[in-house]
Amino acid sequence: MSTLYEDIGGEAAVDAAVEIFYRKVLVDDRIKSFFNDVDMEKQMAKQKSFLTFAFGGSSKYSGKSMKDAHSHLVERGLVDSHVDAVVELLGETLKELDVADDKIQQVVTIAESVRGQVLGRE
Amino acid sequence: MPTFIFKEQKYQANENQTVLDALINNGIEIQNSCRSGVCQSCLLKTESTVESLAQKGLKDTQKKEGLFFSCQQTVVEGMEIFECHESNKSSVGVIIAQEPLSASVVLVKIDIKDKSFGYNAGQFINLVRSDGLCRPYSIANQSGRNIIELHVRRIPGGVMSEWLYGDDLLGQEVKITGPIGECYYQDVYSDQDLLLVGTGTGLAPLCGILLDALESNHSKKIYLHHGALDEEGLYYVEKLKSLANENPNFEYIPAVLKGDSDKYNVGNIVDIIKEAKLNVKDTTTFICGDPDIVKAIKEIVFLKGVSSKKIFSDPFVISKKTCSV
Repeated sequence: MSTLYEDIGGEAAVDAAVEIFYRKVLVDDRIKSFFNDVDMEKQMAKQKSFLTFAFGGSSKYSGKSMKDAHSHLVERGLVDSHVDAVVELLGETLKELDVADDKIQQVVTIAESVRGQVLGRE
Repeated sequence: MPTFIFKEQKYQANENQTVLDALINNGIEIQNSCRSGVCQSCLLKTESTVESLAQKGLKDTQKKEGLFFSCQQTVVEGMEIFECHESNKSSVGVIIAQEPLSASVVLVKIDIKDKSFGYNAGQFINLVRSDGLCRPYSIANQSGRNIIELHVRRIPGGVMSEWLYGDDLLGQEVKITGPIGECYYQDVYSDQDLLLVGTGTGLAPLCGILLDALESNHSKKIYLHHGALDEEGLYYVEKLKSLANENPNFEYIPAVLKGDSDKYNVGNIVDIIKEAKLNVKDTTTFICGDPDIVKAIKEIVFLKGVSSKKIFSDPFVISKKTCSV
């Protein structure tokens, strides 16, 4: 049986998704301020790692722990509604890439699994 | 136990130790964060062959330059490791011309004595004075020459720029290290429109890229936007205009923030790029100059739809750019 990651299209799909996703993030009034002062290349490298995780391509997010990586953003006021926005943009990105709804749902479920850590609750 | 070289010093590593761990173990501070090859903070440089995992996600130009994630690479016996902006080549050079290009910019020509000192136009070198003072400058003339041309902007109180601008230095020996950076023309861009955007002496690397592209008979469009505060800040205007006349695929678009709108576009270069029509699928972009403007234009070009892999930049940070001899 193929994995979710393979179904979506593997690394090539992640590469395509990162570009679309990051374009959405940069213009979204709800969350763009959290991305203002970050280097574009570094930020996209991190998002690629996150999307690989969300697409089921790696069992864990391979970066700093989600909690450590976002603690400075929590201090700046990152709350649930911002995570909602990110998840929404992730879904829109996948729709644009013609990923089937049930697969999108699976990706969203994986992304949601780290919400507590991102917001420093776990 | 494998040994390796860092900053010309020999160190020992443990078997199968990563470069990052080996350096830290030897008491050397290296920026790092995720230790997973993701955050890009532990990027270093080598001429040795590295594992593909240690370069995963880097641009081809960065791979070619030998950049790698030190957290993902085990120490290979004898490997020499450099910091990203450190130079692994150097040559003696002699200043053979100083020609003012405007009230604040001087063209400095340097004869490179080591004929094997290769470079690509648009990359930068570190210019080192005999007392050790060192500043980075971009190479503004074609690749493969023995003489390099630099555009030096006179910064009031800037020790190096005042020296290069004001003193008679013909015959003066200097040391050149480098070349460094990924802002240069490659034949793989031949099917691409080129968008070159620069402010101030950010024009220098763009001139190098432009001249290399023209010399390679680049047939797609080349747009060169040069932005300055006012008319005085523009230079090479006639030279670039005549190049545009000779090469129908090359368009030169100077702009000033304040000035006479009959002669130039007047406006913020960021807004001008925002309005510019681009063939986003097939455009490769080079952006050089003021760091804040570079960052803003990178974002605009990316949002227009140009892939981040086709956006190259060189932010000029005044006398802060890492300069290692």
